[in-house]
Amino acid sequence: MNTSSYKQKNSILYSIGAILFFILFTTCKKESTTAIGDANVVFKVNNTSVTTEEYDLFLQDQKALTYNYFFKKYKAKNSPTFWTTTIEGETPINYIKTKTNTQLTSIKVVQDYASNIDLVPQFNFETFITDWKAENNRRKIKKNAGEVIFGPIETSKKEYYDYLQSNLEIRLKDKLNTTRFKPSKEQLEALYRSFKNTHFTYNDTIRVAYLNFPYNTSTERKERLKQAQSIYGKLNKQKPHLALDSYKKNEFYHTKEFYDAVKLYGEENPEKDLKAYASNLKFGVLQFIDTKLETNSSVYILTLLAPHVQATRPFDSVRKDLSYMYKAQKYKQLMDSLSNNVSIIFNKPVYENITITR
Amino acid sequence: MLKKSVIVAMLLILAACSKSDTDEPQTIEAPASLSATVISETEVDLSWNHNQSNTTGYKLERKKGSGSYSQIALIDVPLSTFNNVGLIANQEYTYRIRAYNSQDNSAYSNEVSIVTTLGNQSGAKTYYLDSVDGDDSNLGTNEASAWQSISKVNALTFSAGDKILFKSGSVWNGQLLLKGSGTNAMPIIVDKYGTGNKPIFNGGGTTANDGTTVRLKNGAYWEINNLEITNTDGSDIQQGPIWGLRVIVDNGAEINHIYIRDCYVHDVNGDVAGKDTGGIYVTADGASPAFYNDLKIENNRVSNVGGLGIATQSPHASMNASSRTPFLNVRIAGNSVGPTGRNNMIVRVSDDAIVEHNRLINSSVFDKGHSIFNFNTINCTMQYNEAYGNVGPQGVIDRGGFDADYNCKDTTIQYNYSHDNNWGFAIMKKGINDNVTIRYNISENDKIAVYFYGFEFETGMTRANVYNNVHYVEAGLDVKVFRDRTPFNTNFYNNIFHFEGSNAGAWGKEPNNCLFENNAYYNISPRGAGAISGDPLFVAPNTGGQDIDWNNYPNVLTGYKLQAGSPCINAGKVVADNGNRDFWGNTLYNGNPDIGAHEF
Repeated sequence: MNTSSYKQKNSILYSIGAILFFILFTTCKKESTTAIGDANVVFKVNNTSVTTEEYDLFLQDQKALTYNYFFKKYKAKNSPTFWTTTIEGETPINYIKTKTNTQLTSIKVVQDYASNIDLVPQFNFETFITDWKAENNRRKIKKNAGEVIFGPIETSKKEYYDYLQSNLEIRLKDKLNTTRFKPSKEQLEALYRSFKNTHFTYNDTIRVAYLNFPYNTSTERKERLKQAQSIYGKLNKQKPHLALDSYKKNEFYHTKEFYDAVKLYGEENPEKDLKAYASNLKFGVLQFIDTKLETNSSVYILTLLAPHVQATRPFDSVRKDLSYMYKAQKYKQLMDSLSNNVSIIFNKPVYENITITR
Repeated sequence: MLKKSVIVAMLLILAACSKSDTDEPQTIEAPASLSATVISETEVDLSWNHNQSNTTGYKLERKKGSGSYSQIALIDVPLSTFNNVGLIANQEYTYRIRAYNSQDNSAYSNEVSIVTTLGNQSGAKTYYLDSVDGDDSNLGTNEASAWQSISKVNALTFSAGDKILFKSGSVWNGQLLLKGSGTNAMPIIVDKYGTGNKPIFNGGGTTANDGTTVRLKNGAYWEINNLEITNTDGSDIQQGPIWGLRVIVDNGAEINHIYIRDCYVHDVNGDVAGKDTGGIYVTADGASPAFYNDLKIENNRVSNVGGLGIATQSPHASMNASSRTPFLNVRIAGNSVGPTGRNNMIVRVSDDAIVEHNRLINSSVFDKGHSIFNFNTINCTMQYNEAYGNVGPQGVIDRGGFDADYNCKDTTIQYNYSHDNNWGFAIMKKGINDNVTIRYNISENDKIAVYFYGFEFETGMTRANVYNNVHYVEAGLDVKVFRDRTPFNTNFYNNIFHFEGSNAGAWGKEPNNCLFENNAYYNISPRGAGAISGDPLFVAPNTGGQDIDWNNYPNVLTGYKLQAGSPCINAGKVVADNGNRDFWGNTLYNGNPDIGAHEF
């Protein structure tokens, strides 16, 4: 499977997931507003409290994007009244709170679930702060003593929070993958049938003719782009094969055969990228490829010399991929379900009094 | 009696007359070749030549502008230099010097005149910007009269010692385009002032001016600190080849002293994975070779960016080129990078680069790519970094922690912590790839494989050395040491391969031209001479990044130290040029070498 198809398929999956999550989140979750009676709590997610300090940590992180949103949409600039000025029904303070609520809710759902299955103790922000300070202190002491520290010597509060949360999610997935998400062969076979054509059908042989306009510097790139565009404009798009034939004696002209069995490695291997472009190409199409890389790349005009010879990977060879897909699906379903049934109680006096100064 | 008195008086008069006629006796040679070097706006270095015979010292005189000379110092022999400090910037001074002894002064030396440099008092300025309370009609040179718009900054070419300070909590929507150069003594500083959040620069998804929110072009001696930077139109789609912060040189120059520190770059582009977009990008370009010398990218946070986290690039340092102009003195350290659409970090075109203490998180969310790799480098060292969470659909793709990529020489990967990556701990690529060393790292629960080789049929990598690493795999994971790629041309010494649980570990592909000596194996078939089989007796394995204990955050990774009685103690093979210390900084060796990352 090539890079682009992976990306495209992932994007589709992510998009569908995001839409489903949004629908579930906005239609099914139970939200209520009341006075919790604790001036230090902004809201509760399944009885897990979000304190004012924790809330502020995430609120501050949304500021830049909130400014960006209101500037892009309404040309609103930073001013003393920015946060409370309503424009066409939208107010920055409400916008940023909604973003913060969504982010914190998804975090609390994970923390809450992880503690419910005894993976970690119940999260407590005060304890977290103590830990954070201790960890920075520990690292500082170790550095001063000339001992080894991996990662940054000092981390901000938000960095540390994200660090622990990202590791918690890894650990939760590992736990679920080894205890709950254990697919049977039948389940994997069903998944295989569903994704056989989209994910596991590949081009066994790719035969491509192409004009290659390599460049090193951005100035060269502009020249090559211009040159390639000029040539591309004159080529007969209806008969691409014949069109490129007229350049056979030109130094730009090349042909190549790629085989699935011959893997191309290296993160910066231009042949690997060319294979990916050719793999996505349909027979009879003349394609102009600008890699958009400023330096050290190429502009291509390419067409297939023959239709792709396709094959399908057998079930056994993609079993690990299927297992990964199954587990990823199951994890997402679980999180969607938890979010769907989440109970959110806002501490009205505290929540409504949250203000932002510049 | 009178006659005698008259004679004495006459002799005294004659003696006196004789002395005044000669003015000063020329018994000491005059100093020569007095020269002056301006050090700064307040400091001048002087030197002169003199044989110093019959000399007690020197009397140095100075005059300011067209004023009169006055003596400013008595200097003892054998000195023949003087550092004159406390001067006024941009002022002409003239110096002369003469030698003296207990009886005489010499003649004066030549005169030498200099003008001190422009300094903070006369040239360098500090500019203040406040997006709320500033006003573009202000002078902009103090907090009370700050400018408001970054267009004021974009219009200026800055000079040595200038500072551009942005008010904390301010926000600018647009591009910050920096120009000018500082000096070694007086770099140009960009920073925040006041308390609160870092000043925000939102590019809004701009593709103009090299597609970046903050740009420094063809400027040397800059320090950019404490900015929060985004560049997105708010959508999740591809927005073009855009970046958060770029430094560019395309004028064939050697660019010295570029420091990017404590910046927070996030939300650049959409959910994309190209290498043409990302967070921080430092590049050379242009027909004539240009490069950086003394590049520091430190303590930044880069998160939620499409494409790359931090990267460097140049067309002038290919390993295949007849002459290379690589970046020099590069240090990328203390950064927290990720999630990123593609690689967290790519270190290209740099010689002797140090990449350390970085935290590499959830790399390659929207495609494949290793957390970090190098390309077109010589002597690149990756150390003390943590890389984790590089996950995605499986298969034969690049998705590991640390990659010693091809077109490189002398790559060292040491003292790193890799865990929970989807495609293994370390990767070695095809030639050109000379002298790869991977040592004293800890890999915990990296999945699929431990080592990958970036070739199956193309080789060309010279002999690699992999020693004293710990590879721990918890129960339930299906990991092969070499899954899909044939290991090639590598020495494996003193490593621990530890597979926990009832599922025995597996080797995968059969090694080709590899040497296994003095490795320890737990739950996997041993191979090579000096093999140790059985429990290595770690202190507490599997307690690294996996242990999220809110109440008692552990002293992570000490779990991979050896307990007393471990069969790995003193069971290793001596490795020359071993870096001289273990993962925890203990000096090597204590007795015979131990196996694993700990020297007990």
